[in-house]
Amino acid sequence: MKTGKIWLLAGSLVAGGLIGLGTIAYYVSLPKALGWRTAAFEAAEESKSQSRLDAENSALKKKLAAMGPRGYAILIDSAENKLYLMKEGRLLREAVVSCGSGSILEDPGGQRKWIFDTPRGEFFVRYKLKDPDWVKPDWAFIEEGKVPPKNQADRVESGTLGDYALGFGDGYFIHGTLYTRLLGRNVTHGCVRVGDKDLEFIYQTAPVGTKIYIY
Amino acid sequence: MTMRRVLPVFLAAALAVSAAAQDKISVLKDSRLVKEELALAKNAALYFVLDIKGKTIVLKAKGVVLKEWKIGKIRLWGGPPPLAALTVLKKSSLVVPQRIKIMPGEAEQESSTFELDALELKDMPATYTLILESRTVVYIRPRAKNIGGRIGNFGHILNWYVGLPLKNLWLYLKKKPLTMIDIAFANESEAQSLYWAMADKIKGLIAR
Repeated sequence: MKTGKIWLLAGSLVAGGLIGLGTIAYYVSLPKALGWRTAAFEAAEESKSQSRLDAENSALKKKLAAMGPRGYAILIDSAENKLYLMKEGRLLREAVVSCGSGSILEDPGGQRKWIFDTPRGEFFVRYKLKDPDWVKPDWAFIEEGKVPPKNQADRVESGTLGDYALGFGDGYFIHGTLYTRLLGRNVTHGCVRVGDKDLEFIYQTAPVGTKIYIY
Repeated sequence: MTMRRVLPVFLAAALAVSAAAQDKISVLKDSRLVKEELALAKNAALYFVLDIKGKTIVLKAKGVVLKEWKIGKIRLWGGPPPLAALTVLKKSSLVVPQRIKIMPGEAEQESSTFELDALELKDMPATYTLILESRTVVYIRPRAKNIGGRIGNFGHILNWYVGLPLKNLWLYLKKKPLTMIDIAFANESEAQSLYWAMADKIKGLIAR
């Protein structure tokens, strides 16, 4: 009976302690979270008048809006494998594409390593090519288990990139594909593969200089 | 009688002053965020804006909205995050998506079955944690739709309402309090696509 009372007392003390601790924890965490919207600013900023702040904000927002593209823009969603050709914020064409596989290739004979991701960020169309030839880089030979040739002419392959290619730097292109059944999947070495009709429309519509946003 | 007339006027004046102060804070925050965003937009990298009040996460580049996620539910613990660009230091999940290593010459071999060696959206985790600078932690998960998910969510809720406040108390005593944000998406694919979008070392802003 006495032991039971001791256990009851101990249990009550532990439970009370935990409740107390929990209350203090909530007391510490909750008011801070509730105050997120009213956290104070530096005195220098607070001393500015409302109208001056409004004017400053408006100017800053205009500056930010001016950083965006004018005219055409190409948006590429590498997760969904979709390309959107836009003009002044209006959708002109939506295309199913193939982006980078994310796979890794290591050079067995050296220290080189390639990660086949489509690069992300802001780019622009640097040049456009009709009936492009592909100058195969070293990784293309290594992937096939071959030694990269020293002669540049041995690297040139016709027909692989489709009818058109739009280069956006560092050897990356928006180009055509022979493997249309893989459109919509992440299969490339970083380039963006597009179906024939969509590619033709993009090639004919987007001029050199068009901003490309890849995400 | 005079008191009855003065009191409403006094209350109205107090409310007006309070509303004006709130408006000013709101404008100040807006201003700070736009300044920070301008700094981020100066380079070509992508960045995100987590808007707590608007319950959205937006992926942007140069001020252009590229993708938007609607947040189903959002909860907060700890102190407010700074109104400054924060880098995602780490993405933590139970199962980390693994890149596939290409074996040279393998593609040339004849194969009767076609298997795609790629890291795709479906391979991304739906429940994970984003660890940002300034001791800011963002928990991401989809809303539970089956029993397994509900059990998992129960564990998360237990951690959120018991474990984290206690942890925060401990860190508060050590003068290193955390900022914690819990985000639940309506479905798994949204959480997965956010994981995809949160590239290594991506920077972003938290609007509160």
